[in-house]
Amino acid sequence: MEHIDILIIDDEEKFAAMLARRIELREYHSKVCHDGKTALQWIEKHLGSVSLILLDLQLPDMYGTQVLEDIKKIHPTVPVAIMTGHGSEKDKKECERLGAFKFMYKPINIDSLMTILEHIKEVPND
Amino acid sequence: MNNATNFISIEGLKFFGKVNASISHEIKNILAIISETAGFLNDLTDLAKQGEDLKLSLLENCTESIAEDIQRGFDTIKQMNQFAHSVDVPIKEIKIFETVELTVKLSNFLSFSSKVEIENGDKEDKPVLTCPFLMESLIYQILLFVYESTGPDGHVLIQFDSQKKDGTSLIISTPTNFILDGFPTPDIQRAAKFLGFELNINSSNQKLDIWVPYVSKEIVALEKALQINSKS
Repeated sequence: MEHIDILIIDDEEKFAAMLARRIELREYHSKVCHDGKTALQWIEKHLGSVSLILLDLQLPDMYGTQVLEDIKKIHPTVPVAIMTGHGSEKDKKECERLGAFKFMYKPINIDSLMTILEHIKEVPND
Repeated sequence: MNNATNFISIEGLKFFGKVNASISHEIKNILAIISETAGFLNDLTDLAKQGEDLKLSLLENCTESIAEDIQRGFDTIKQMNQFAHSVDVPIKEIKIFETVELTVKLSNFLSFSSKVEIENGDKEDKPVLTCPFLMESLIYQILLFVYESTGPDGHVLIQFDSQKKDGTSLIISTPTNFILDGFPTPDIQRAAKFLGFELNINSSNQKLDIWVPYVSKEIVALEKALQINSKS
């Protein structure tokens, strides 16, 4: 099974595609899902084959916190970072409570993201 | 303040806030795409400095993408401006197709919105004397109700029937059945009442029919109430 370094869950197709290209340029593997349901199905089928999940809060079919809760049920140890345009302090606290380890605002700083990924890969989660 | 103006003030602020939040979200998304594309161009420049071949097609793709998103930003700001001007005059004559089209565009900024097709079989855009802001708020709320049922992959069709002399029927339907439990909500019902619109649910063929009179007695009464309030 191919290992995916970063799974991007974001409904803004162009944003997700461009971020994925920048990750690939840095020789990491990425995968994009545009809605919560598809992402959860993929995670269920590929347990343990993803290092980091980047999750947007505004998805067309589910709210991000619900997706986060479901990811943690399927795969409790996978690191999930939230990336949002307009997340509130309430959202941030809720995401932390549900197990997100990072709450980031768009636009994403690619260098910081790579530092996070490298740190995660040095300390495997499962 | 009477019931109608009180309702417009309270519900109007909620509606205004909701639309503003969705527009700011849209603008942030556009800027995030442009930012990532600029970052990608920067990555390509760094690679070129290291001696890698710079693919012109990639540069072209990036500049085209930026141009598209700048246009998307301009379109969003145009709709935001049109919407902001809908409160300029409380009661005025508006074009029904134009107003529905703007409201659909505003509702499409929401991530869970369905795809909406507007079919104007009449061609002529009929004038309606109404409270534009309250009418937009009502259609917006109805669309949100429909989206909840149809979902982001759903399709919604809006048609106009102007066969009658004194008004137009706005018909909302979907190719699949939509669940209309709880429709109309009290807020939708009140807004329709103040505007003099009639809401009819045709459960046999799953259509929502909104009767929009060109001039209603309710809107004439509302205009008078607003004039009295502005003088007092």
